[in-house]
Amino acid sequence: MTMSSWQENNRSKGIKIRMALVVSLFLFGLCAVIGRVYYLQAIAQEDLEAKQTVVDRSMEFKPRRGSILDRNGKELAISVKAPSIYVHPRQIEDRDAAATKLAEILQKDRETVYKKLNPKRTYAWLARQIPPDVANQIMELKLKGVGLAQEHKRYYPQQGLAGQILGFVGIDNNGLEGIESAYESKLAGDKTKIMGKRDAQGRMMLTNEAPKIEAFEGASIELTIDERIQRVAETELNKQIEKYNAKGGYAVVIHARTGEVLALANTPSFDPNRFREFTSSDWRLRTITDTFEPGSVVKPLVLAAALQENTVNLQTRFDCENGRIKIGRYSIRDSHAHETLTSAEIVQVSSNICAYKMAQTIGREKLYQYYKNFGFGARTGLGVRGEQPGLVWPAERWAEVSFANVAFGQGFTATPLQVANATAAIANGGMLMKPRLVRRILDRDGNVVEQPRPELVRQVVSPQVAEQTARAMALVTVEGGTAIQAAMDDFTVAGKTGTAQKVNPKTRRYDHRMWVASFVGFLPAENPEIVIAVSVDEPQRVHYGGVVSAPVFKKIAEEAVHVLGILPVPESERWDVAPKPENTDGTAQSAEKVAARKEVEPQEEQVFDLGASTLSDVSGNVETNIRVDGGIRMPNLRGLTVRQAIEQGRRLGALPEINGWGRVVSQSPEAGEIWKEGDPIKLELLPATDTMLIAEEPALGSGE
Amino acid sequence: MSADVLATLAKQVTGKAQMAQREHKGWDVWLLFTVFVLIGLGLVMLYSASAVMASQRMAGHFHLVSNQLTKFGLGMVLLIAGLKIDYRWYKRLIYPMLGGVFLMLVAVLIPGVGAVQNGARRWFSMGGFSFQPAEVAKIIAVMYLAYSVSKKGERMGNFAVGFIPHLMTIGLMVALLMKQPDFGSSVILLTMMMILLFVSGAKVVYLSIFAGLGAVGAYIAITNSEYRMKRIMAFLDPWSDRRGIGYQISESLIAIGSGGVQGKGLGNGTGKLGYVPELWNDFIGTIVAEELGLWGVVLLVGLFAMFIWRGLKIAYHAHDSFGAYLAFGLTAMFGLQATANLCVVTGLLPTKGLTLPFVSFGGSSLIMAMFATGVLLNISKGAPDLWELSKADRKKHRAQRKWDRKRDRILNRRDDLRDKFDEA
Repeated sequence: MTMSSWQENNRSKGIKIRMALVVSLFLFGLCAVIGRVYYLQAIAQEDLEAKQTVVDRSMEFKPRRGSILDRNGKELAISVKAPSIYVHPRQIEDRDAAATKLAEILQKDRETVYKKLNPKRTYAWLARQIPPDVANQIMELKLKGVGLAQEHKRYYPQQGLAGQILGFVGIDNNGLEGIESAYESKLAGDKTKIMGKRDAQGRMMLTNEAPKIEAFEGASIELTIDERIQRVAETELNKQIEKYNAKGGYAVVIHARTGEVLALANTPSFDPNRFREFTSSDWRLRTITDTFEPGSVVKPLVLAAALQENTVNLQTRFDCENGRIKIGRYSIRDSHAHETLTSAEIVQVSSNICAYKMAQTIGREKLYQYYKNFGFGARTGLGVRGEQPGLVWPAERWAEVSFANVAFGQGFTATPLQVANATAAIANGGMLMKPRLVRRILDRDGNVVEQPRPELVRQVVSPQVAEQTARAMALVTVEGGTAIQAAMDDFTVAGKTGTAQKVNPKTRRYDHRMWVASFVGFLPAENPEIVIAVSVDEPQRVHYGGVVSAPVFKKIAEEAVHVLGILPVPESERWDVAPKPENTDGTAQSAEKVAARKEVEPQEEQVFDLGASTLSDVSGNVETNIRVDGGIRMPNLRGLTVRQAIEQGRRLGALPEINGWGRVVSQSPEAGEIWKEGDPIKLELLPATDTMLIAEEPALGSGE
Repeated sequence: MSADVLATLAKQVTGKAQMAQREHKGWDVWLLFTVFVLIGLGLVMLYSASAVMASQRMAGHFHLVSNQLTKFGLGMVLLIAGLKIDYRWYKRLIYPMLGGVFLMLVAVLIPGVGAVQNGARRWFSMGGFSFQPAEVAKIIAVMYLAYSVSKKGERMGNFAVGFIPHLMTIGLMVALLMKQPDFGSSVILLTMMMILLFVSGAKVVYLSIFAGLGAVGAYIAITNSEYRMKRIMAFLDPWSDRRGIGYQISESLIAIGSGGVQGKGLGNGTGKLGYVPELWNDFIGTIVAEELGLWGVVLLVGLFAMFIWRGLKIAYHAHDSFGAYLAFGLTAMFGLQATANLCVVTGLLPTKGLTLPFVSFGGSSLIMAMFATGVLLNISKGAPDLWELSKADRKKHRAQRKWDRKRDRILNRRDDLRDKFDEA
């Protein structure tokens, strides 16, 4: 009764069994699926994973590259938006037609475009960093598989200016030369990696949200270079090279106290916007990569060394052998014969023989040591790729004639920057500073991220010796010197010419037709601000540094004075280096005339014979210290070196507390305040900086 | 006297009906639960599989899922309809329904009426709504087979009675399906016919011969079509033409394998990034295995096993043999499709274009599967055939009305009798 009709059916049992049979077949199939999946996932997993098309993909987003600015914020290298065209060749429907159309707009060969549309590739750049109007034209075609991406293109608005310093970037905006390469990590900013998966069409699928790219923008590099000085240096150098049909030229401008490089010029100039049109030798920053024998420009260094070693003073007289001396089978000549010369005059008239004799007073070992101390034979560490150290043979390997050569700047090599920097040490009270190209590093909002400080390499000679040397160098640009063309109206210019012979690479001997005409100097000689070195490589017709390079020096110096606002030294403080009227009758070619002037000059030397001439004004102060009741009015100690400050302290009868190094920037008690005996004198010292220069300027006026 | 008999009969009938009402079981909740879990899992996996594609090529990442949800709503209507309509009506109306199916299968072949998609003319497209008659045909075919074998009963062993009519009907349907062409549905129909004939007691010898002939036919169909041949080759060695015809299956295997036993985690699969074509459709099993790992597959297979078990149970306890065959037939059809689909996805069978019932994206498939579920639930109620039971009543009513009409007619003609009758 409860059973329904079909259940009562006799056949039902057989049917049920058959149904169960069919169903168990399905269940068996389903179990097989589980077994199969287990096999695939547990046993064949590695195999299958290996077969997987790589799907993980990261994409690097390059943020906008930071700018390169000159010291006044003028843009030397900037990033501008530039559209780029990419293609997904597989999505292109009509390869032929697309190639024809694209080639026409891009003005490219149809074949090259056609090849780029090769459907075997999933993605290709068709044209990168093209003008916006061309990109618009392409996008108006509305071709499937053709897309536009905004990229940044590096642009150098000053074109050829400072090209070698800046360097350039490749198509992917990675710095390849110069500052672009050296400061790549700062300029490029933080590349951000975005993780994602690659889909079957090769497109990127982001798995996370894309970060804001602006946040990773590169820092800007503010160079120590002054665009205006650099420009004048390049133009004037080029003019002179054209005029003398020279092979090339170099100019280096350094800020004396800080070692900041204001200009580095060499020819030919190079436009980083079109770097491919130049050769790799044009890309080189030759002022640091090229070395040559510096020649007579090193004579002031020899003088400084001898003065420091106390083997000579400025009046020490040397026998100049009438312009010719034999060393073994070699003979050395002076361009103008002299009988005797004082140390100062050796620099003034650039006598090779007497420079050698002066060097002999300290010996070769010492000379070698001083050269090393002035930075020769070692990289300055400017921080740009390719800097050469130059070659200075150790003293024990010098033959006697080599010693003589080395004494007047032949027989060893140096870069123009090394020459300038060594001279800057003289200008900077004997302190050799590390030359620097980067003034500040700024983030995208203009905040200072990094500000390298001036770096003292070593004190090579004492400030007194440096000043004495400077005085000797000041004679070079006055009547009787070798570089009258470098003289300036309102400034005393200390300098030295150099006319170095080059070794002809073919004959491997000094060639009397191949010269490097140099002039290196600084101003104001009394209180040096800038050091300028100019060298002209292989000038034709005339090869004297005083004629070929000194005018360039003067042009650059005039611009620098104007640009930097260098104040002339008050008349009363200027060194009286001009020869006496009776000696200014002209060329000073004959030995007699030189000799006649020599007799005058010692008197002048008397004038600036300085026990401690830098201290003269200060010591004056000390003497005018009015003993007031219960104490002494503090003198102004600002600008003094440690040694000078301690000396001053002694005179007052106290040992000042010294903080830092360099020169005094602040004092306690202040100048003019009453100092009681037993009270501490605290002095803050800092390496010379711009701030200090400003602090010092009023002192110039107050000294009158 | 006759009135007495009738009264007794009527009493008997109502008694039987009341008794049946008492033993009337509730419908199978577990089956419905299983189906809902399958559909839910399907929607989740569908979203994971299609979101990337849909957001790139369609209205939005939710596009396919919302489409499927609409179909689910329609499916619910049909499920409830299936649950409410007594299944025996399908038996009674089988020939009109069969006729309707043939009409549809013919109509879909007419260009302009049937829409072409993926190279096959399979769809009716009306106002953005597409509909696949093959899905209906499968269900109606099962109904027809269940009706036919239950009617023939013991005579199924006879070749002419138990074999020829079914082969003719199903053969005609398959012929029409192959015109589309729809190889997958054809295979399912033929297999379903074999299964039901086997279950209902057809001679195994005939079935084997037929299976042999079918194999030969299939071989010819395959070798005649370069496309099917390639599919078989791809099945035998997916890696030989990995970039060509073997692409789908090899990418599916890679996706499954790279998931590992633990799976990559829901949403973390990479197959959906365009690597496995039709991932949301026929190959939805791939993403289950890739993202949910072996346990996901065990869950999926377990749900289908549950479905099959409940279906078999309904068939066993059906009220009549038609109900039993119909319940078994529907269960077997979805069990067969699920098994075949999962075997295809894992590379155990050649690719055939079969969806995974309840889970795959595909409107017609889901709607019809839900309707079939409704039918199964209706069978599971084990309700008595009220229509059949009230037959005598209806007959009596008809006879009464007939007699009334006749009497009126006679009385109209014979006034004498009318008076006499009135007197009586």
